[in-house]
Amino acid sequence: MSNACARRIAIGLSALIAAGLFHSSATAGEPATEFLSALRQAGYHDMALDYLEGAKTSKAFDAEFKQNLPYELGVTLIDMAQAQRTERARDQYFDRAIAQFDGFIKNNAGKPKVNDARNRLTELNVLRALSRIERSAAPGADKSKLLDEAKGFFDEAEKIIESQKTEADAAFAKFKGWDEKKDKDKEAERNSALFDVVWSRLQQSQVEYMRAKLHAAGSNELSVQLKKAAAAFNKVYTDYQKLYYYGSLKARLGEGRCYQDLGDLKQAATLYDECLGGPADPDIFRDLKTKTFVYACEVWIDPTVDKAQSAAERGGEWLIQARPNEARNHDWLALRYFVARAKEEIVKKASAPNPPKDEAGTLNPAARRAHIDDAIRLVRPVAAHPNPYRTPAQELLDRLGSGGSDDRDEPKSFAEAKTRGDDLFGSIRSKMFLIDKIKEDLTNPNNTPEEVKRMKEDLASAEKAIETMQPQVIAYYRLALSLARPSDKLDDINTVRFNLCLIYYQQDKYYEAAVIGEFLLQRYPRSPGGRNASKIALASWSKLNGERIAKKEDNKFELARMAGVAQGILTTWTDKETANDTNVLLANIYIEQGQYAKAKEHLDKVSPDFPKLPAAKMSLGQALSREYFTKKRLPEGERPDEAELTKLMEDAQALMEDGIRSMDEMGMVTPHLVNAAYSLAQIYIDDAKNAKAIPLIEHARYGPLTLLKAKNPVVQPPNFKDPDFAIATYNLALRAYIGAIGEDPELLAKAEQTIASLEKLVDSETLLFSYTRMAQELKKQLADAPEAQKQSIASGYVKFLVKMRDGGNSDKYDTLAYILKSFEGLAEGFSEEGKPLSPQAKSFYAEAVKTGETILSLVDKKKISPSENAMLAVRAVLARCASRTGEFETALDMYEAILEEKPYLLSVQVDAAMAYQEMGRTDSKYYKYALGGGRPGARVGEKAKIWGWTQISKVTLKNAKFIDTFHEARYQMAVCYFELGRATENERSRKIYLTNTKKATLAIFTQFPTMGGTELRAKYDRLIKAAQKELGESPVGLTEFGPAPADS
Amino acid sequence: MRIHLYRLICCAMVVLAGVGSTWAIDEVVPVGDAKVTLAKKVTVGRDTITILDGRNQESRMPVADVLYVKFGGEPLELSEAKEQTRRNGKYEEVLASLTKLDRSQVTPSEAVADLAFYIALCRTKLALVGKGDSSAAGKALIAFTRDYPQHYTFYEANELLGDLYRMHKQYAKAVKYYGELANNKEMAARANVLIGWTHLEQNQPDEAVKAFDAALADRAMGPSAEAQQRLAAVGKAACTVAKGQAADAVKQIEEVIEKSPPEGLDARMYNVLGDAQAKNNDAKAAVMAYLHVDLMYAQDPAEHAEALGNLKQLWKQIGQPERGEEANRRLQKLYPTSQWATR
Repeated sequence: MSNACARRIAIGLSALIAAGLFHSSATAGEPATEFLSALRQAGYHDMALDYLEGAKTSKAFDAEFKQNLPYELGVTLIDMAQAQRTERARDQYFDRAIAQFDGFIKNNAGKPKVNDARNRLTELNVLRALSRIERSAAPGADKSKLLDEAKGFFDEAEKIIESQKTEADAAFAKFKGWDEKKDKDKEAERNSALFDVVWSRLQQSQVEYMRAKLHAAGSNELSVQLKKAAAAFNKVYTDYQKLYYYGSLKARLGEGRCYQDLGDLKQAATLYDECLGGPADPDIFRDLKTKTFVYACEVWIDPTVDKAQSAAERGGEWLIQARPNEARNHDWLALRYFVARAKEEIVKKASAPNPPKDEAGTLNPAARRAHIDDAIRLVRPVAAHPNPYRTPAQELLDRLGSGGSDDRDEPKSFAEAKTRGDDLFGSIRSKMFLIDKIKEDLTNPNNTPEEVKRMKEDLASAEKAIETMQPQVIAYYRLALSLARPSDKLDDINTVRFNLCLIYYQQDKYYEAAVIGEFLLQRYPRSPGGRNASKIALASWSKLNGERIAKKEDNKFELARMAGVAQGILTTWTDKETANDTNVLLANIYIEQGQYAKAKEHLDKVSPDFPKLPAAKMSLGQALSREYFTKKRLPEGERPDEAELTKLMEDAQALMEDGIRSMDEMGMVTPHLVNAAYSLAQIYIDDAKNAKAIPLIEHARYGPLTLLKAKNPVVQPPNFKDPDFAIATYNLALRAYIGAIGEDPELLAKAEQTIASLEKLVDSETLLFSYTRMAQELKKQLADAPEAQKQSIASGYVKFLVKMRDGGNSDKYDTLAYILKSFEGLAEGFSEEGKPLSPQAKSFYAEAVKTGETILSLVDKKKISPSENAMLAVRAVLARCASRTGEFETALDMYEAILEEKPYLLSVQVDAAMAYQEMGRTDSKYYKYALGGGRPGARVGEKAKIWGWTQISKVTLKNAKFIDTFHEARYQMAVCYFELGRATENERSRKIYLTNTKKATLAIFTQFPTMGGTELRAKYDRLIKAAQKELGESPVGLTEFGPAPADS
Repeated sequence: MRIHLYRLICCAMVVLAGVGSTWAIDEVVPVGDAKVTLAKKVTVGRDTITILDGRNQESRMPVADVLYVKFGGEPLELSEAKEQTRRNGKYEEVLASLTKLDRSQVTPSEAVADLAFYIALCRTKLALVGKGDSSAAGKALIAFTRDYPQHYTFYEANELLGDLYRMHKQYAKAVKYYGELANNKEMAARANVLIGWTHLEQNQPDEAVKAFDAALADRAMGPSAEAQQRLAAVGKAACTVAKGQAADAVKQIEEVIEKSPPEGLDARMYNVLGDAQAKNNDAKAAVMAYLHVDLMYAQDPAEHAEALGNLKQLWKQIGQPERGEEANRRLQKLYPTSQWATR
């Protein structure tokens, strides 16, 4: 049995119960019952629950409604249960509903509503029975067990009804001999008792009818049960026709349903016709008539009855009576569905090879088209709203909308093409809604494998349907636009444009979506879809921008388009929400473009309480801090003055502090806030303000280290990757502590504890990687620190590193490796490119060498056994130290020994080339070795172990992973040519070398517009200027090769 | 009890069917919950209608209490039109149906006037939500008031003219037409209510309060008068919102709702309540109020458009963006050119 069928039956029972609601009298005040019912019908069950919650304390609700709250809550829960896709979820709601009804019955004995509550319990039991029956039909189900459970629920329902019936009969018996004229004052009471008598019998008949579902289709048992139910309904009709007309009509309707299910459609149709002869006033009769039309139309369209015309006409006429607030009433929606089906049948009949010679058979093409269009119009709302016929309605819409009928020619007008497109578009939207619902249900960890399988099948089917329909919709809409005439409404034309824009976006065709979106923004911003189209345009450019960034391609064009669209949005819509959103977006775009002043301008326009503002401030702050460090590393002459640099860093830190403060004030500790604290601490450390970094890292509420130690869920997956976040945090803490030891020696203990925590966390290889990074950061930190702080940082590190090496950890490889790299980092931090080594740098290199030799000695003594790669890394560091301290031959020997084993160790190849370059300062011939590799004095034909920059660049070009090394190699090649040109005395050779410098740079300029990043680009520019000067040319730098790429 | 009521109606209809076989029966459908009055003849006037019953006895009913009159022998489309517009708000469908009627074939003469009025009514209601030509609607109304100055819908036609001018922000003219209603003592309160809303739209809450107070002080009785008093109370609450006292306004409107009979509740009340709740920073309560209009009182297109226009934003505020999108889709579909669709 399908879900729709089960729910129809449940509707039948609910309708029985709902009609009983007229027990309650109309009172002044909030129309609680009607509104609650409307909320449920609309599928807003969550709002219904809130409404009931609010009713507890609100004065707007009368006492009776408040007393009935548990009842109403139970009813709402039953509705919510029916909206669930899995039985488990349904049962949970049912259980809650039962608790509500049981409580209500217990506390309200003797009150009229108690019967309604019992009726609902009956309904609930029936629904559970139907659910078990449905499950029993699934493959692999324990059919016998489930059907037994279903029978049990039916029996439970029967028990409730039997006790109601007994009570009702006893109450009504008191009115035996009642005289209409003499006992007028007791009329209301008698009618109420009569109602209960009839109603209990109707319910009993209804349950008999439902029991039929226990039996297989076509079986004798089914037939017997349905006949039994029909007889029960008939008895109610016969016994109470004169006493209670409405009740008797309901019985007649029930009887008709029994015959319908028996397959005796003629008899069913006759009984329905009798019901349709009833009155249409007051509303309870009207509602009954609507339901009767639903059943009647279903029968009329059956081919064996062949009265689709009646369904279309009579059902269609009744549909006109629908009130606006019944737009989502399930019975009216069902009627729309069946009238639409009737029209489909009429057209099918007329389109058959040998159509009958009656009115339907002689339908001309225009009339058939009118029927189809009508049917589509009727069924669209059924497919769009939650109701038991939604799925068959969607299927019907698909059939009708995809031109299932042969008479649907190619559209000849804009309106026709648009309508076809709209119908398919509506189907797509319905399917997308379904997909979202299924995905949500799939996340339920309690789903059974069969439920998951079914849901995945439904999901795949819906996705496939969308894939098929999308190109069809696009084709119709594009046809519509081509057929558009000046007489067609502009709003309709723009709606088509907007829909196209949306579909292109859904298909990931971002350029197409962006083009249409921008068109609507510029030309028709106030059109129905104008605003949304502009948002799609922005989103599309943003996606394209992201794609460029992911491929490390130039994204200036996409950024510029984003900025343009965002500006357009800002000037067109001035409401606060749009302005805030767009200003933040523009700020982020300008940050990416490096236009920080413009970014700040836009952030200043954002409301202080706008939730996205703190994150945007953080982004700008981080960008400004990066700008600070980049400018600080510029050579003298190009570097801005100290005041400007200081202001830059102050602005950066102020923005970030403000961002953190705002996030903190929002109350919750979020991953964003933790990230922000981390970032600012990092900047403080890089700016040698370790004393400010430590309180951030250790902040009681959002400090990353505090949260890490407390194993707070905020810093666990999925918010942060494990153990990456932990490593980064310990790293940061370590840098903060060590850097501040000079000012506070007690931090040494904290630094040691942090090292210990880090070592416990990860394996050796990861630890080593982490230590390498820390050493690199130390180098950068020292390079950027003012002299005084530099010394303080260095002294802290030295104390820490020496204690580590010569203290208890002296025989752990990982720790020694960290000490080695750190001393190397310290040395490099105190070195300046192109200048002789300072004594301090020399002393640090010496300590590094000492540490390296300690490692080697321990390996020889077999006290430690690091991996082969780890040993290579140690040797590489020692070779570098040798190179830096001028022991080049030793360094080259060591490089060659390593490369003998591992020729593709890129970092060592680079170090070796750099060593040659260093040697080139004293003897320019070594620049040639830096370029071409090899070894002076090598035998002819001997394969060079050291590659040189040329070979390095060839190898790294092939692999995007090494793109940075590629760029570094190509730059150094240009440097080598320049230095050779400068050093050589032969004029012709000099010119050749200097021209080669320009050629090497031009090659990169044309093939890689980003030239490896802003920093490298600036270096190339300086190099070319120098080369131009040497050649006696005007030092215009890179502009000699062409204009710089356009900024937005 | 409903059983009893139904039997009563059935009996009444049987009796009348017997008696009325040689006469065309007129029906008077009143405002509110009162039952339909069947008459041998209904004679309409500007201020009252005169009902001649089966025993040839006359009674009068103020036009303020009349929802509509069905004249015996009038075209079925016209009878349907009255029901569908008054109860179900189906202005578009009714207009399409009525404009097909041949006026020269319509009888009785009162029905000809009704036809003119209902066409003008539909045009106006649609124009008020941006569908159709407001100028054509205005012309139809002016022609009606000129041709049928004694028709029972005369004052309503003036009210609709006032609504059109208000839509175009020609407030002085709107007040002039609303003022016409004051010439009927049962409608004077309504005139004040409409003038009050006009002042409110011009951001003149103090003037609005005066007009609403005048309506509240009116001594007219009956369901229509009570309805105007409720509207005036809601209007005063709207003034309270305009003065920045949204919390007080919420209490005022809730009190009006609490005391209203079921048939006395309408879209305006809930739209004003929704606005007050929103300004009181209770987005969920605002949604609840506007949902009353969307789900139960959607007959008036202008009110429905306002409710949808607010729901599209408020749903998002309470974490239901897809419902906001759905409200917007329906708004764009049903009322694409209303001010709420383009905001």
